[in-house]
Amino acid sequence: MSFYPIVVLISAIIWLFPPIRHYRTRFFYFFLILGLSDVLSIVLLFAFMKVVLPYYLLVSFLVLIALFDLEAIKQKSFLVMVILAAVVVITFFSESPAIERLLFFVLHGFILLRVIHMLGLDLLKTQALNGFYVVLIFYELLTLTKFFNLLVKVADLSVLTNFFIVTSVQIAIGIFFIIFKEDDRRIRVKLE
Amino acid sequence: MLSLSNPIIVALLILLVLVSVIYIFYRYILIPMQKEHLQEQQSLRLQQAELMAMFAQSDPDPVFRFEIDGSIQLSNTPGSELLKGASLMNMKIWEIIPETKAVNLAECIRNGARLELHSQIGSRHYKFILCGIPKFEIGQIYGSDITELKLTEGQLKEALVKAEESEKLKSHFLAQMSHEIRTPLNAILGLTSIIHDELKEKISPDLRRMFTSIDNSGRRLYRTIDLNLNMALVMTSGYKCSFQRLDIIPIINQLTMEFRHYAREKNLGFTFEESLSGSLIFADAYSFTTIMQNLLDNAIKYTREGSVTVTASQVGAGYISVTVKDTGIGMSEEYMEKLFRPFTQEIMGYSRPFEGNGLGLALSKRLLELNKGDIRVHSIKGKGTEVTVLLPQFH
Repeated sequence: MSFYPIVVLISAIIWLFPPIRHYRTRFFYFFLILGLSDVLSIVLLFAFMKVVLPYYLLVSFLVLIALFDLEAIKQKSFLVMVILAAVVVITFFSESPAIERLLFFVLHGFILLRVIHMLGLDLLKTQALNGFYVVLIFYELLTLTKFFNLLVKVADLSVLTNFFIVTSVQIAIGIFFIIFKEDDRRIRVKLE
Repeated sequence: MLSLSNPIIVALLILLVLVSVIYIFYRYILIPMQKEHLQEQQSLRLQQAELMAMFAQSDPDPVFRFEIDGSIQLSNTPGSELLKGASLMNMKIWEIIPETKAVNLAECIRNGARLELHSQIGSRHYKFILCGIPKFEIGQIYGSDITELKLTEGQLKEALVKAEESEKLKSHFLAQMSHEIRTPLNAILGLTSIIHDELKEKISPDLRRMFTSIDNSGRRLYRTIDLNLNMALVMTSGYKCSFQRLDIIPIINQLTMEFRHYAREKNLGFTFEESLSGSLIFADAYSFTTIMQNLLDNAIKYTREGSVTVTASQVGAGYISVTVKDTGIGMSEEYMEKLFRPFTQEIMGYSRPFEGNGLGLALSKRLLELNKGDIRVHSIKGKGTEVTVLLPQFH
């Protein structure tokens, strides 16, 4: 058995634990969607033997929604429904990969901005830099750069090596989120 | 492997830049701004607190602020003066206002309750309003000196007791007077009548006229006293109606028999007609009799020639009307306006052509009001007067 599928499997298993750790916190649904999407992506990869971008678009949208409070979603339910409809239409009816990729970048761009916004609010409130958000931003940046790299094909390393490195870092991030929660004092750096 | 084409390196570099920017922005721009803002807010709050303190200070009444355990935090000058210069330090509010001891201050503060307390401090009386302020976990007490009010209240109570005593005395006096005057008068009138009957065959016509004069004057005096006492009773609310089912026909028949005699003496016609389906009313018998007596007496008194007619008829909406119509001297329109004022007659003074003291109609109106009835007068000077009394029919 090849070494790479094992790394992918370990990553999928590791990412199943953060939702348990973050149960009853505001990041529960965020980690639940991420954890389940990893398992589903492996199933899809084996089923179609290729990366299914529409699936990733839907997951990205759900991850973005999961970062907002339920009350805020209820208040702007009309806007959420419109964006969801747009995502579904583009996902299933668009035959242009360029539009799908653009949507992927837009969705992840919003996720990144939302996490930065959360970091900013926390900074104002506690006057300390929360490592939880920093790692979350790093995870989101990694997703974006990985995808960008894949698109422009600038990687000088072999695809598999690259994939192995990124997956290994994602395993480390998954372990970080299993250990630390948002309000953990050990990962806070006071600004003064 | 560590080149810029590696997504991890790129992500790390972007993260580093991003976190640095955020750090610098928050550390050197936003947080100092926030601090400055907080300082300004605090200074504003202090200013407001000072203004509030000044406001309380300028209040001429005592104001106290206390904590959840009852410790006094602040008081204005009038508040401190209640202690006669003693220090407020470590004092509890109930040491000044003992009534607050019975109040659960903590609960009042938590619920934002508002209570009114009355307290006597030294020789002065105070009304205190206690307000809980849950937001700041404090309570405030606003006092007002009500010593003058209490004194006035005491005086008023005293005056009320005196008035009630006076009312009792007056009722007693009226009852006593009524008895003391009516009894001898009845004896005078009765005995004079007996003597007159015994001697009427033996005495001269001059003496007979004297007897008639004694009888007439005695009856006039009796009626005047009766009217005055009744008026006094009605005016002072001392008269209590005894409502009952009353048949007006026998009463009017009895009265017409009595007054027909006087009408005949003056050569006046006197008739009574009725067209009633039911002659029962719900009223006080004494009131109805007195009203009718007054109306008939006036009609005969103020009519020199012609007739007096009494009619009883049905009026819509459950009322019975009794009308006394005469062909007498009538009344001017100017006098009609003050018709029901006690002690008024159109021509007053010692030279007035008709006897009486102007109480009959005034008393009748008061009695009708007590019986939920009404009176209407129509008069033409020189032609006659028509007085209609309306009373609720008994069903």
